[in-house]
Amino acid sequence: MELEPLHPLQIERFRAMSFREKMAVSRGLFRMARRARLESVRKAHPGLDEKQCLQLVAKEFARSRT
Amino acid sequence: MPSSQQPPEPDADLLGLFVRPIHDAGLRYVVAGSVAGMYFSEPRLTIDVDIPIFLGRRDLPVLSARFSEPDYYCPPPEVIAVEADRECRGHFNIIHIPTGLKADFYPANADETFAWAWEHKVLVESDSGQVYLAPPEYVILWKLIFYKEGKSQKHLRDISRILAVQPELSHRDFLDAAIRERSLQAAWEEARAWI
Repeated sequence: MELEPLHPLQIERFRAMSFREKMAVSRGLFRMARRARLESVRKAHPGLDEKQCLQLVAKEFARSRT
Repeated sequence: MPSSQQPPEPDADLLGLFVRPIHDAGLRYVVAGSVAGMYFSEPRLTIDVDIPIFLGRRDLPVLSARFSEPDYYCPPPEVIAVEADRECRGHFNIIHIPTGLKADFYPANADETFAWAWEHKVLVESDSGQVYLAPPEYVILWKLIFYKEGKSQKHLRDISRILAVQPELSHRDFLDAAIRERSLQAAWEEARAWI
């Protein structure tokens, strides 16, 4: 598997970022992924109410590995 | 559902959900894995946090109390006790039900690498308060071990990112010795080839 190398500007930025900033980016990625899965679950299961969709997404994440 | 009607998003802070409760309880732990890896490299998506931990008998009720229903799934104390008593590689999960976020706890009472990590832990500030992170050499070591066992390339990716952002390791002697003792040279070379 090929891994795209980090750009020198990225390396510079990541060295300068605080842990708080990095965790905020990570939380933003989680929220984005969660929204995308929620939208997909709503479309795939139109009979489910919102609470059931949220539970389904939470179960998906609990089974996932990152 | 229009965006204005989106349900409120639950708190997705792994550190607030899983780490601060055990920090506040005074337990001996370090955050390792990809969350600690982020501190030493780049931000990335993760939905679980790895927590090597020392667990004595009196610590078990603390976990049950801090991670209680209905918000959390936490194994019964007797299950955790069995995992804590293992000579090595004990493991149990705690799950935050509303989000599906998860903590992988690794009881490490007899693990000398954990004792080393605790001695060299890094205290950092997060939005949830202070937390202890494992040093990068410990994060790298266990990613090499997990890669050797499971061949998941995410470990090599994480290691290569740490080495790209922070090429100077202040405890390189610890890492080199552990790599030799555990015959991880091939995995280490693979990880370095990714940089």
